[in-house]
Formats: sequence, C-alpha cells, structure tokens
Amino acid sequence: MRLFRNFAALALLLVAASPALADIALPKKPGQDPNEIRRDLPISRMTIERVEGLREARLQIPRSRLQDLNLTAGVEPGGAQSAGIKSAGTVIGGVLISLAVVLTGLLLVRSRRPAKLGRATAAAVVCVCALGAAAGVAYANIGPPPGIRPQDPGTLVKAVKGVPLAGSIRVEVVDEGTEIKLLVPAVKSGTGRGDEEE
Amino acid sequence: MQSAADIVALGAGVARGGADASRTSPRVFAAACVCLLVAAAALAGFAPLWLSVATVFAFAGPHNWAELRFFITRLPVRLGRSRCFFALAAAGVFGLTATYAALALWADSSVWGEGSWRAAIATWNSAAVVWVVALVAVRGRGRSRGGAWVWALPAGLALAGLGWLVPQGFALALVYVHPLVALWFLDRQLRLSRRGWSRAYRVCLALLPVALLLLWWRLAGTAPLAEDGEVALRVVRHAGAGVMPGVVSTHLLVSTHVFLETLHYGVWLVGVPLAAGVGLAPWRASSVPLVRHRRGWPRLIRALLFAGGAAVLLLWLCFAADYATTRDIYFTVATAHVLAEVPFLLRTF
Repeated sequence: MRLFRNFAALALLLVAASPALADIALPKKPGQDPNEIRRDLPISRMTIERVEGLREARLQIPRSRLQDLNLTAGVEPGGAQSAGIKSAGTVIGGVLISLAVVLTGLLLVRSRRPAKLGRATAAAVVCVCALGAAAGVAYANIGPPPGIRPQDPGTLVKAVKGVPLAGSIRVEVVDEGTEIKLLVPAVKSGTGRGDEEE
Repeated sequence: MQSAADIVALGAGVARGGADASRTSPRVFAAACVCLLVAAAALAGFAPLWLSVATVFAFAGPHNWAELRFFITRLPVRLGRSRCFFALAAAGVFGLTATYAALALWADSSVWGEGSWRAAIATWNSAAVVWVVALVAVRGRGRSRGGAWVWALPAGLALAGLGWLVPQGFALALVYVHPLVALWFLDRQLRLSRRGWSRAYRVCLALLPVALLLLWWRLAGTAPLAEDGEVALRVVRHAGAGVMPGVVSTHLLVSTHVFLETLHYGVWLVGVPLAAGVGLAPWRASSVPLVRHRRGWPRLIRALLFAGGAAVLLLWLCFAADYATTRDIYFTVATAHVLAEVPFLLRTF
C-alpha cells in the first residue's frame, strides 16, 4: 500500500509537471539573428586569390574540410543507415538508464534499512551535487575554446564593398591543405566583365 | 573454506619465499610505493612514448603470468557450490574475449559502416555488463547475507545504458579503470596477509589522485605527440586518441595511460607477490593449494605455469621481431586478463 501511495504521488507530480513544461518556449533556432555567432557551424580559413590564366572561378574545398561539412550536415560515411543505428543506440541507452533510475527508486522504497540507505543516498546526492557544482564553477570560469570564439574575417571584408559580387563557380575537392580557397580568374583591366560592371 | 585455504597457502608462501618481506616495516613499504609512484609519474610525463614502449615490451608478458599464478592460487581445490560461479566466469572470459578479437578483426576490414560498428561495440559492452551482473548475482545468492547484490541490477542497467550512448567511451573507460583494479587487488591481499602494511598502502593510494592531477595540470596545454612511425601511432591509438580526437592533448593521454599501466605492472609483478608471501620466487608452485593438496592437479598446474612462461618468452620474441603488430595483437588478446580479474575480485568479498 505504501509503495502504491509513493507511485501515485510520483505519477501525480509528473502529470502536474507536464503542462508546466509544455508551456516552456522552444529554444530559438540558430541563424535567425544576423548578429548571432553560429557556434554550431564548423570553422575554416578562406582565401580569395586572383589567379592569372584561370578561365573560370573555382571554389576549392579540402577533403578534410568536406568531411567536417558532411558531419555538420548529418551525412556520415555509412549514410542514412548509420544515422538510424546511432539514434537507435541513443534510444536503447536512454531506456536502459531510465530503467536503472526506476529500479534504484524501487529498491530504495522496498529497502528494509531506510536509515542506512538514507545516509548512503544523501552522501551520493551530496557527492553528485558537489561534482556538479565543481564542474559548473570550473567551466564557468574558463574562456571559450578556440572553436566557439567569434572568428576573425581578416582581410576578407575588403573583398566586397557595397554591391554583392556574383558569378558562377566550379566546386572542387582537393586533397591538400586545410584552407578553403576561392580562385578568381585574373582579368586584364579594361577587358573583363568586372570592369564593365564598375 | 576458500579463505582458509588461501590463508594456509599464503602462510606456506611466507615461510618459503617471503620471510624477508614479512620483516619489512610499513614505512619502508610506503616509501617504496611513493618512490614508484613519483618515478612512474615523472617518466610518464617526460618520456611517455619511450616509457610505454619499454614497459609493455618488458612487463606485459610477465605481469600476465603473475596474474595467472595469483588466480590459480585463489582457485579452490573443490569447486563445490562455486561450480556455477566458475563456469559462468570461464564462459564469460572466453566468449567475450573471442568476440572482442573478432570485432577487432572486422574493424580493420571495412565490412561495417560507422553505425553498425557502434552498435557492435555497444552490444559487446552490454554483454560484458550482463556477465558481471550475473557473476555478482551468483556470488551474492550463495552468501548468507547476500541481499545487497540486487543493487548490481540498476548499476548494470546504468552502465549498459552508458555503453550504448558512448560505446567507445565505455571501452576507453575500461582501458583506464583496469589498471586501478590491480590496486584494489593489492589492497585486498594486504588486508588478508599483511595488515601492518595495509594502512601505509592506503595513505600511498591517496597520493594517486594528487599525482594524476599534477600530471594533467602540467600536460593539459602541451603539444600533441609526434606520431612518427608505426610504433608511435599504436601507442597514441591504444591510449584512446582516436576516441577523443582533438579533445585533449595526446601527450596527456599517453602519459596518463602509461603511468597507470606502469603502476599496474608494478602491483602485479612486485606488490601482490610480496603481499601474498611468494616474494622473489613466484615460480615455486609448491605454495599453490592445487599443487600441494592431495586432491589437487599438480602436473596440470605446473604445466600451465610452464606454458605461461613459454608464452612470455614468445611474446618477447614477437615484440623484438615486430613491435607494432605484436602490440596490436597483445592489446586485443589482453582483454582476457582484464575480464579474468572480475570473478577473482568478486571472490575477495
């Protein structure tokens, strides 16, 4: 009967909590604010080079960068099947941990040594809270790792002044290097379309 | 019954091989432990690659032999009610090691994609957890005050869950936790046979987190190790660099791994034999209950120890011939001794 009352109280608490949680706004989707720093996106250096003799513009993406981009886009080497198995693993892991929590609760409730277990549980809770607090303090005081700092655009800002630049490019995956490069054909002054636009 | 047999065996060992060790004061023992700890941490910090290559080459085989001898010493002459426990233990050790080796083979043949590979590792993790929980249950139910074993169920479920969420992290945790299990064995052995040293040992154990923190503090910002050549690549990979690429410096990872491994080897090769009383002559099989007892298997045990010694020599030759490949094979097959520690650790409670 006591066990039943405990479960009933837990169920009531969950029922009461669900509408409260349902009213919480969803987290804002990234990318809506142009001033926002997109910490979720991968980082790469980029150069724009003027190449003599090049007939068409080319965007060179190093293979290593492309793998990062694939991961960001949710494309894994194994394809969609891999993603499915991975999420199945997450579900199984979550279910098992939930079962562990439920079973721990059941064992605590059914335990015939409440005083001893109470002390042990209190000690465990204190340890977990202390670790959490320590981790919070530690992580709150350190600077962000290089990956999530605002990235310096360098001299790239000089590439575009006012009017957007547009044109067709070839996208090329290269094996060497780590930098993304936009190669632009060098056009002699007075003959190129770029000059015609100006 | 088993404890009594152990104590008798240990007593015989002390009389034969460990007479000098028994007169050593706890302070000398503690000083030796601290020296080993400091030396291992310093060497691991300054020359991790060199230390890793040297220690695995020299001590990997002998420490496995020392573990085999220790486990044989702990085997009861008559299995009796423990028959089920030991059958389950043996099935788990052989089955899990075989599947682990098969997984390692398949990993190199690009048969599986990333997702399938993760699922396979997670399934192995779950099987290992189920095996440990089953051993705890069998052991717990056989004891008079054995109600506490039920707590292994939620703990096992939580571990299995973590094994699915971060499969390779779970495997990496085994790599780093396994050396610490040796320290636990030594603690239990000291409590059984050398209570005078036990307190000094526990004080030394308290220095281990300090040494680890110092190591991490000094190496957190260091440049990654140069992975020049097959051997360096293997050392870095075995320390788990592939599991957390770019998260921490490979120098820190390898140093931590080799520091713990060195302690692990030291415990099995020096600490446990000294504590158990076999001292400097562990090859003497006469103190093993299964050899001395009239219902034991002296020939089988001597043959097993001899075969183990031959395997150590073979491992040294293989290391000398092709260190990188042998190291790969060793770290795969060594799963057997990691798993074998579990049932014998449970038997100490």
